[in-house]
Amino acid sequence: MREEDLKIIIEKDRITAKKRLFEEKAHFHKEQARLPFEEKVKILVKLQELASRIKGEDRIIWQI
Amino acid sequence: MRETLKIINELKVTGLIDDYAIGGGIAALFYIEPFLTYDLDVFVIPMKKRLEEGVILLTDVFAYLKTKGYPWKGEHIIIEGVPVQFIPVDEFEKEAVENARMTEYEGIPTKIIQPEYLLAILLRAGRKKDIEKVERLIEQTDLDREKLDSLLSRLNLKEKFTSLKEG
Repeated sequence: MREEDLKIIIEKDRITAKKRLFEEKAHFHKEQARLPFEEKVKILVKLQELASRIKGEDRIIWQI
Repeated sequence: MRETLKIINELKVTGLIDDYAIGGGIAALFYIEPFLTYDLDVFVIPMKKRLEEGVILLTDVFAYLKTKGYPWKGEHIIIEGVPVQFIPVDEFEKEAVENARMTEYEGIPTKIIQPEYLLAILLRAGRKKDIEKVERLIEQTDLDREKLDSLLSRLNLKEKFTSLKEG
């Protein structure tokens, strides 16, 4: 059996496979890529704020 | 960002630049999922004012921005809270700007380099962070393969692109 065909039991009636997990992940990333530009820029600013808090770097957080 | 784009559009309207388009990380952000980046790369076609071969004059652009009070931070000029880097185009990038996609950000018109041109420019630059964006463009956008193929051929990047896909 191939690694990607391995079944994963999540709960009693919920079974998935590694292959399906990868497909869902790829689908999620494509959906994120389709967000409106304005929405992406809002997320970008949140990422900049988070990075600033974590890393404490002197980087400019965008004003939008 | 809205106000930043308004100011950049002013540069074109007032004749300080011939044209521009957004490239780099923010152009990639337009096409792929959100990721962390800090600067707005603006590819500009300067007005034809060359002192000599190999010298590009952007002094009028920066003088104009200075009169508006925008400060420098390192290699960026901070326009309405956004660090902007103006990149004068080479021949290929000029074509990318001329063929850029018209769009709007919160009602403000702007231009974004098309994904096929963007991928070629990023692949040519070839830094680790550029290659990461190239990989995401391949995975997450519907690229025009014929157009991409033609652009990569012109830049002699087909082999590099193929090895990237196989790696």
